[in-house]
Amino acid sequence: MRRVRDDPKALAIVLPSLARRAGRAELARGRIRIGEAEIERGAWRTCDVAGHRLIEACAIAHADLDDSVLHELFLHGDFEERVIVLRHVSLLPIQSVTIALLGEVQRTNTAAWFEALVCDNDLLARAVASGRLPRDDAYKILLKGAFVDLRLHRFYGIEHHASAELTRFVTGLATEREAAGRAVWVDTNRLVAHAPIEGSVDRVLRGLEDSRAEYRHASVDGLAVLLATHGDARLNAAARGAFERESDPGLRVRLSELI
Amino acid sequence: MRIFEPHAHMFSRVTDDYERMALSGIRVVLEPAFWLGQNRTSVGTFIDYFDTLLGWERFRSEQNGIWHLSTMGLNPREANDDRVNDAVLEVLPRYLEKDGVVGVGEIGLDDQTAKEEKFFLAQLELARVHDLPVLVHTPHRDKKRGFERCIDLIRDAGFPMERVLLDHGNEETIRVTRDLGCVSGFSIYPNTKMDPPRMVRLIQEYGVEGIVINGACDWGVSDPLSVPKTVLRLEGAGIGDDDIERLVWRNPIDFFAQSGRIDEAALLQRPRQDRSETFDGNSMLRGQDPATA
Ligand SMILES: [Zn+2]
Repeated sequence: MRRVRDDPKALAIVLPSLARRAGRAELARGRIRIGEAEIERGAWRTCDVAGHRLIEACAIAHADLDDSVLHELFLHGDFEERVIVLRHVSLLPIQSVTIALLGEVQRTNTAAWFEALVCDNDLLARAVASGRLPRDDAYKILLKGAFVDLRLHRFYGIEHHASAELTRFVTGLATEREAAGRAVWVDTNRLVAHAPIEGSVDRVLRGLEDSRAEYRHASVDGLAVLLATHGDARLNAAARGAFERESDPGLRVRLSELI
Repeated sequence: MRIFEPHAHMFSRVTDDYERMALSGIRVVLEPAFWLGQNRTSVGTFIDYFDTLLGWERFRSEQNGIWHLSTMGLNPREANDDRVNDAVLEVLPRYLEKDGVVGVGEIGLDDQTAKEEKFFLAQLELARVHDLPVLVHTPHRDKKRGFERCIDLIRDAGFPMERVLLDHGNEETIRVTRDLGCVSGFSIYPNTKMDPPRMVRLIQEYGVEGIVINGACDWGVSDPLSVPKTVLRLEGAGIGDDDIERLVWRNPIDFFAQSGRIDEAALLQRPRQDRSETFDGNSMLRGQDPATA
C-alpha cells in the first residue's frame, strides 16, 4: 500500500502478485451499493478487493493518476490483473477509461474479462445514462452477452434503456438461431417486451406455449411488461389461456397475478 | 513417464508440436524468454513478446493439455544491443512478478562481451530482489571458458548456487558444475551438440542428482521430443524408473519451485482443454467444429 502511494509506477509491479498473495476466494453474496455503482459482492474475490483498494489508495495519493494508467494496466496485465482492473473500473463513475475498456472487452471473447466489467453490476446502464457511451455500442455489448448466453439479470437495469433498435438486434439473433435450429437466448422475450417492434407481441405470446419452463418464464415476464404498457383484450386473454395451461406452480402464481 | 520440459521456445513452434509433446508424456513446458532469431529494435516488441508468452502461448499450451510456465529476462545476445538493453531491464520487474513466471532467464553469456556481463549481473540482482532462481544460457562457442566465466560472475555476485541452472552443458562442463551445488542442464539436439546416446552415457557415469535435460527447441533445427526420446533410451539402457522420474520431473520442479510459485498438485491435474474457448477473441479452431477438432 505504501509502495503505490509513494510511486504510482509500483502498481504495475504489485498488481501481478495480488492473486497469489491475496487469494481468489469469493466474497459472500449480496447486492450492494458502492458510490454510484451497484454490484453483486459475490462476483468479487479477495484479490479483486485488494486490487481495488491498492488502485484507490494510489489514486487518492496522486491526483494526477489519469485514465491512461488504468488502461495501460489492463493492456499489459495478465489474466488475473485484467480482471482486477476491470472490477475496479466497474465501481468508478463513467469516465474515458470506462469507455475505452468497454471497447476492449467488446473485442475480446475472454468471458472472465467481459463479465468482470459489465456483468453483476449496473455499469452498462450507467454508461448509457451518462451519455458517454453511444446507445448502439451498449446494445452491441449486450448482444454479445446474449450471444454467449449470459443472462439479462446480470446487466442491472439495462432493460430500462431498451429501444426498438435493441429489440431489432435481439430479434435478429433469435431468428438466426431459429433458422439454424439452435437454442434462442432465453431472455429474448423478457427483453423485447420493453420496446416491442412488429412481431414482438406475437413472439412473446408464442413463448407462453414453449415446452421449456425457463422460456415460458421469460415470456410471462415479457407479458407482464406488455400488459403494464400496452394492455389490451388480446393480452388479457393470452394471460388467462396461459394460466389455464400452465403446470409449473411458480408460473401459475405469477400468471394469477396478471389476470 | 510424466515429463517436465524445462526449456522450450514454443513461441516458434506449431500446434502439432504441442500435440505430439502431450502424447509423449510432457505435462509441463517452461518457456524462457529468448532471442527470436532476429534482433529487435525497440522495447515495445519485447513487451509484446512477454505479454504473448503469458497470454496466447499459455492459452495455446493449455488447450493441448500442457501447463505452461515461463522465465523472463533479457537474453545475452540482445544485451549487446543499446537500442533495447536498458529499456528491457526497466520493464522486467513487472514481468518478474507475473503468475507462472518462475525464474529469471535466459540470461548469461553468448559472445562473452563486457555488456553481456553487465546485464547478466544486473539480472542476477533482479533475481535476488524478486526472489527467483535463474536460468543461465551458456555460450555455444568457447563453451568451457564461458562456463567458467559465468560461474565466476555468479560467485562474485554472491548469488546462491542452488538457485542457478547452468544450461547447455556437455561432458566437459559437468566436471566443472557437478560439485558447485547448482543444477546442470543439458540440451539435447537432433544432430549437433548433446544427443540422446551421449546423454545416456553421461547419466550412467554421473547419475541424475542435480541434472535436468531439455530439448531447447526453437526456430532452428531442434526437436520438441528430445526429452521423451531420451527417456526411451534411458529405459532401454536399464536406468530405473525412479531415477528417470527424478531427472525429468522431480529435479526441474524442485528447482523452479524455489520461486514459490509452483503448485505441484495443480500440475498433476490436466489443464482444462475446452477448445471452444477463445483467448482475446481468437480460438484455435479456425472455423472447425469443437467436437471434431
Ligand atoms: Zn533457449
